[in-house]
Formats: sequence, structure tokens, C-alpha cells
Amino acid sequence: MKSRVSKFLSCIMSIALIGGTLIACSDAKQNEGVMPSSEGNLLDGGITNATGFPITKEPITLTVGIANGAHMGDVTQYNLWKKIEEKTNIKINLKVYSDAEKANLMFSSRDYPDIGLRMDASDQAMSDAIDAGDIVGIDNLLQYTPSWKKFFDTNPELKKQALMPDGKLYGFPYAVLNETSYNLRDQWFINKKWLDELGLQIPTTTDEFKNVLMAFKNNAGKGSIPKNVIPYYILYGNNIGGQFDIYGAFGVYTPGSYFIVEDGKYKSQATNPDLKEPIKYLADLYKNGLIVPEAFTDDWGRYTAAISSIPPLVGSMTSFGDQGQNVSDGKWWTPIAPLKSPNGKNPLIRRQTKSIWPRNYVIFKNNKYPVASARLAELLADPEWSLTENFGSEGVWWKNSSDGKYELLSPTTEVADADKALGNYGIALLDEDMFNNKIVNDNFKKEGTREWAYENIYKKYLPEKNLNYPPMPSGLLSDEEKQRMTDLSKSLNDYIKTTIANWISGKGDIDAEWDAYVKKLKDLGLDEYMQLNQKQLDAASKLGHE
Amino acid sequence: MITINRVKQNIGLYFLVLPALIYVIMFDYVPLYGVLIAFENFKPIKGIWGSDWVGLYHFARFVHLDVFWVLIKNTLSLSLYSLIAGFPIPIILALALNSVTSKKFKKVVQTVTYAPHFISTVILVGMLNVFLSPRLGVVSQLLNSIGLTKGPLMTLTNPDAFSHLYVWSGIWQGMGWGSIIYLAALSGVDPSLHEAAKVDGATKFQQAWYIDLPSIMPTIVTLLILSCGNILGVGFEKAFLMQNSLNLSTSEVISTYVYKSGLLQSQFSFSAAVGLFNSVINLVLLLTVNKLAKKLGQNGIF
Repeated sequence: MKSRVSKFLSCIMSIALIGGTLIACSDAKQNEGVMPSSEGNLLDGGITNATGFPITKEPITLTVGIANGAHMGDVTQYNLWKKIEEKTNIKINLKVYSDAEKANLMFSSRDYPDIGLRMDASDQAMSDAIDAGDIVGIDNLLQYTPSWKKFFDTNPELKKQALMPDGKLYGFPYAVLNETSYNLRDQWFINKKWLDELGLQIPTTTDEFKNVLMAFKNNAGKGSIPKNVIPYYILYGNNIGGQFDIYGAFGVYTPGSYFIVEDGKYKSQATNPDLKEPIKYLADLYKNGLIVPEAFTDDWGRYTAAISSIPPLVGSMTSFGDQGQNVSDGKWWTPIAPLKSPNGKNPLIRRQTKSIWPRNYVIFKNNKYPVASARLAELLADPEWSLTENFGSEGVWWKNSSDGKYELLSPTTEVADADKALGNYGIALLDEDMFNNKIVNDNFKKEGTREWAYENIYKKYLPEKNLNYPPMPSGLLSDEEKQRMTDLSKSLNDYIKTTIANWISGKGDIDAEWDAYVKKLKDLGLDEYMQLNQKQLDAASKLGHE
Repeated sequence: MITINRVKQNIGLYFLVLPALIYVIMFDYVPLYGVLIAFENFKPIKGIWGSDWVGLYHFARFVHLDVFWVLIKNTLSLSLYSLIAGFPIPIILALALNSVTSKKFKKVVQTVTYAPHFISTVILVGMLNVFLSPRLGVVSQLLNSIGLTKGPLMTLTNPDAFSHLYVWSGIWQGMGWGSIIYLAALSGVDPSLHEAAKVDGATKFQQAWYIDLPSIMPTIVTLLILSCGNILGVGFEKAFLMQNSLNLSTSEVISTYVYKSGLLQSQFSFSAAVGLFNSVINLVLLLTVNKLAKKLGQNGIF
């Protein structure tokens, strides 16, 4: 601890030393370039055309900051940058931030590029920079970006996610609204091959599920079931692959934490007595050895190893991706519907929040060509450009099909870095209309894919209302309130997590201890925590209505 | 005048000490003003001088946390346990090695005991997790096969087992390395004392007890004082890596809490305040033990 903190401190100090000297040099002339100049329709001091291509009448260079994703290869080799230069006269000079610390350091030292794509700096760094006026507000620039203006006008809920506490917009978003992706958290898989070997049916109720798991356990070492089989794998307490879908089977919706938002009201599921029943069910599975103790000690690495092991070790688990595609013969895993419980309530599956990455393209105030930069953002919102940004090069990852639609391709050979996609490291505009009507994706017809499972299994089990906590900008609460919320959140969530873990692992009796548990949560400040969250929620819902 | 002359006479020595002096000033004293951020709501953009002053707010916040006493209890018990169990062992090892007559055996034991020191904490905890894995770990399999336990081994998830695992794995890793300094001190013991003792018919044990131990006492006291000065500084990595949702009630120590709720949430001021709080308490403890040592007739560190 001593060395960590002192390292951090010395780091901060050096940052602050540099940062402090630079503050004096900043001035507030940030809107200078936006105003039309005297030279007719040329902007940015006579360089930028208001319409048409190329964007600038003579070549310019813009420095663009981007975080480095491990899967992305050499991002400087992407064809996209060349395409941009040919079309717009803007040469992109990429500055890659290899980790979040480098990006945070850049923010603290105010050594900004001209444009920032996703940089993975902390929310706090971004909002501090906005407070300091270092990032250009885009409201004045929307006149040059009709596609983005239309997007914000027609999607008020998504616009709200992008607004900062002052009610203004400060960046162009990555807006890829694929329902099959955002509207379902985990698929629930069962090992079909083992079911077939044992002559069992796909379970539909919690009791059948338990019997199937018992059968997996009792037949360990026979057929393709390994001796050290894990009948039901959960990564306890984790949003992905955790135990939350069991709660859903009993009709208790928990999005990956124990707090939900219903009709604008912040609610706690941690104190909902309906939670007792699924926890008892989990405890029963644990007692019978169907959930293994590793559920509480494994980390993310061992979760992925366990669920993707070939041949499989696991009888049932939940995961975002299509495990069927990862196992050679494709017949191991099959997605199942959430189980029906004895209490008769409708089982629920979890969804993710429909959201955008609101500031994946920000223009810094040292950028001399804000209009040209905005017009570049507009070009990147074009459907075909967006497909390239999000999926990869045309002809490799997608192609124009005859009826004016776009067909997604799955390349079978290794793809060169040049043809790779920025994905959510850049921006793109692909809305639901694109996905529903213009993009042709074969996976919808392929049994066992996520798209297929979403359409055919999970869609009808989603809760009617969205109960997830909506994304919101930081800075809606005062610093003191935010810090108090952090402290409360830590102690409450740790207590909930530990107590429920004890109940599941048989170290306590939920019926006897429930009241004490609820009381302890109140003592720890549950009410205050809920009030603070409600306050933040109310402040967020008021954004954009002034 | 006299001092200047003496400096002139020894100018070479002053040159020798200069780089170290500059280093200490540059990297240990100049950045000290950064502790100011513990008393403000630090924002990197506003800088250390520009951020809002909040006084002792972050200290009060830390002390009023619901988990504050749990954190103190866990941290203190872990480090006291480490100290009490871990401090004498390298001394005993060094005394034992010193009494061994076979040079070869001594070298082998020394190498074997300090080899674990070079294993990184991540690997050490990884090994613990693999060996003690509830169902498939070596220990669990072994105990089950000879019938000592039945079913999975729950050591990793048992909050009561956490401190033992933490301390004894630390002793295993550190005892060989820790004994080096005592061995060095022992090599300075006058051989004539041992010869005299032998003539008087002292056994090996008596020699170690009456000659070796008193000779290295000053070293022992110095090291004890230094370790007391570090008593709230329980290592971050190991506790953090060994945590899981079931043992959190004993494994959450000050440093892991600060990491999770301070640094990960960009709350640098809070983290700095807790760090400063730790340092002050450590300093007080160090001074107390130092004074105590002097009272008991031993040399303090200053």
C-alpha cells in the first residue's frame, strides 16, 4: 500500500506541477473558429468549405487521440484513415494511448490532441475538462452535421444520456443500436450433448433443472461427461455469468446489481423478501454439489476458461456470446428459456441498457478547425462509412446486396489490420432501422446464434418496462454527495454480497437472519443511499427540459 | 570558520554524498507539498494550489465510515500476527544455520529457504489458489484420499483461515531472505568468545543462547523498531489478490479499501488522506517503540 500510494502521489504531483503551470496560459476564445469568416462561405479562418467535398480547400492535418484495444491490432494501419484523407483533404495523425493512465495523464497535463475518439480516460477527467472549457460544445456545430442533428432530435432519451449537467452536448456518439446486442444480457446455455447422452429433455422448470444437474453429477466420468464436472457454473456476484438469472426465474429482476429504476423511482431489490426463494434454491443447488465452491473464489479469467473449455467441463452456464460457435462441432450448447419457478410468476431474463457512447468524438479547444472536424464527424455518420467503422472494410466484412441492402459477411481467413473495424473505439451511426431493415444478417436464421436465440427464445421473457439504471453524466451531484454515495455504495454492496454468499453456501439461515440483514442495511445507510440516487436520477431526468 | 575549513579538507567526501543528497531532496522532500491534496477536493485541472480547501473533511469521512473499525481491526491483527509469528523465525533460522558445521548443508538450506523470496506475490497467491482449490486442489485431493476430510476444502473461503494463510505463506516466502541480515551480523561475532565457551564446555545451544543472541541483539532491536513503523502498512497486493466474496469480513484491510473506493473512483484526495493517516500512526508507533527500546537499555535508531 505504501509503495502504491506513494507512486500514485508522486505521479499526481508531477501531473499537477505541469498542469498548474498550464492553467495560466488558457483563454476562452474557443468559439473563434466557428464564426463564418469574411471570405464568403469558407470557415475555420478560410480553410473549410461549408458543404461538399473535399472538406478543406487545402490539406490540413488533425491529431486524433484513441485508446488502444488489445483486439485491434495496429490501428494506424487501418484503411479508414487513408479513405478519410482522400475524400476530405484532412490528414489524420493518430496518437494512440496504450492505457487509461496515459489518457488520464494527457487530460491532467492538458496536452490534448485536436480530436479525441474513445480514450478511456476516467469520467471525472472528461467532466473536469468540460468544466474547464477545454472541450468545444457541439450545439453550435450541429448545423454542419444534419445526420447527427436528426439523430439527437429523434432520440430524446439517448440525447439525455449525452447531455452534460449544463444541458449541453460535448461530443458525437458511437450510436450502434442493435437490439439483439443491447436488449439481452446473458443467454442461458445447457449442455445439449450431455442431455442427449443421458436421454434427458431440456429443462423448463427449476425442479427439472435441478434434476438434470443431478444427472450430470451422478454420471460424472461416463460418456463425454468428465469426472470433475461442474454441473452449474456461476461466477458469483458478477454481472456477466453470475447468479442473477436465477433471481429472474423466480420473477425478481436484478440487472446485475440489486438496485432498479421503475417509472423513475429508484428501488432496492436487496430488501425485497421475494429474493428469499431464489436464494434458498441456490443454497439447495450448492448443498447438493451442483454449484461448486469455486463460484465464490474464481475470477474472470477462470470463468472464461471454464465456460470455453473444450471439451466442456460445465453442464449449464450463462454467457453473452455464442458458445455454440466456439466448439468445433457446434452441438454442445443450446440456449434455453429462463426456468419457470414453483411460485408461478413469469420468469424474466435480463436486458442491458439501450445506450450510446456519448463522447467518442470530442473536439478540443486547441483544434484550429472545429467546423472541418464536425463535418468529418458528419461523414463518419454516413451508413456505408458507419458500416466500415463498425464492422470493417467493405468486401471483407460486408457488401452491398442487390436490393440496396447491406449483407454482413464472416471472413474465414485471418483479416489484415488494414481491414479491421474501430467498433466502439470510434463513432458510427447505425440505428435500429438500419439493423431491422437494411442490414442482412444470416445469423437470425442459424439456430443457436445469439440473434436467433433473442428472436425465438428470450424476447418474450424481457420485463415489460426497462428497469435498468440509465447511464448519466457525472457531475449531477455535489462532490460531497458523490463521495458519500461512493462510501455508502461500497459498504452496502459488500454487505449484501457477503451475506447472500453466506446464505448460498449454507453458512447461515436466511429465514432467521433476513430481518437482521434488512436492519443492518438500514443502519449502514440504505435510505440515504437511495435518496442520493433518487436525487441524481431526478437531476438527470430534468436535463434538456429547461 | 572552522566548519568551512573542515568542509574544504573533506571536499571529496562531500562530492561523494552529493548525488544521494540531491536525489533525496528532489524525490523525497520536494514532492512533499503534494500531501496538501489530502486537505482539499483535488482536481487535476485546478492543480494542487487551485483546488478547493476542505480541511480535515476526508479524515473525518474515513473515521466515520461504517467499516472503519473493521478495517483497523483487520489491518492491525494481520500485521501484529505477522510480526509476532514472523519476526522471531528468521532469527531462529539464522542462529541455527550459524551453528551448523557442514558448510555444504548450510549453503543448501540457505538457498532453499530464500528462493521463495523471488516469487512474485501474484504467483504466490496463484499457487495458494491452485493448491487449496476447494475440489480439485492437491491439498483437498490428498486430505480426501487419506480420509481426513470429506468433500471440498473450504480454506480459501473461510474468513477465519484468511489471516493464517496470509501470515504463514508470508513467513514461508520471507524467512530465508530475512535471515540474511542476521547471518551477516553473526559473522561479526568474535571467534575467541566461541573458543572460550568451548573450553568451558558449553553446548551448541548454550553458545547460541549466551554468545550469538546477545551479539546480534542491537540488530534485532533496530529491525523490530523498523517493522513497528510499518504496522498499518499491510501489503496491498497480497490481501487484494486473496480476497473473495466469502472472506471479505477479515480480508478487507485499509489499503485494499482505499484502492477500491479511492483510487479506482479517482478520489485522490481521500486516498492521500488515508495514506497520511497511516503514516502518522506508523510514525507515532515507531517513536514509541524507539523510546521504549532506549528505556530498556538498547540502542534506538535515533
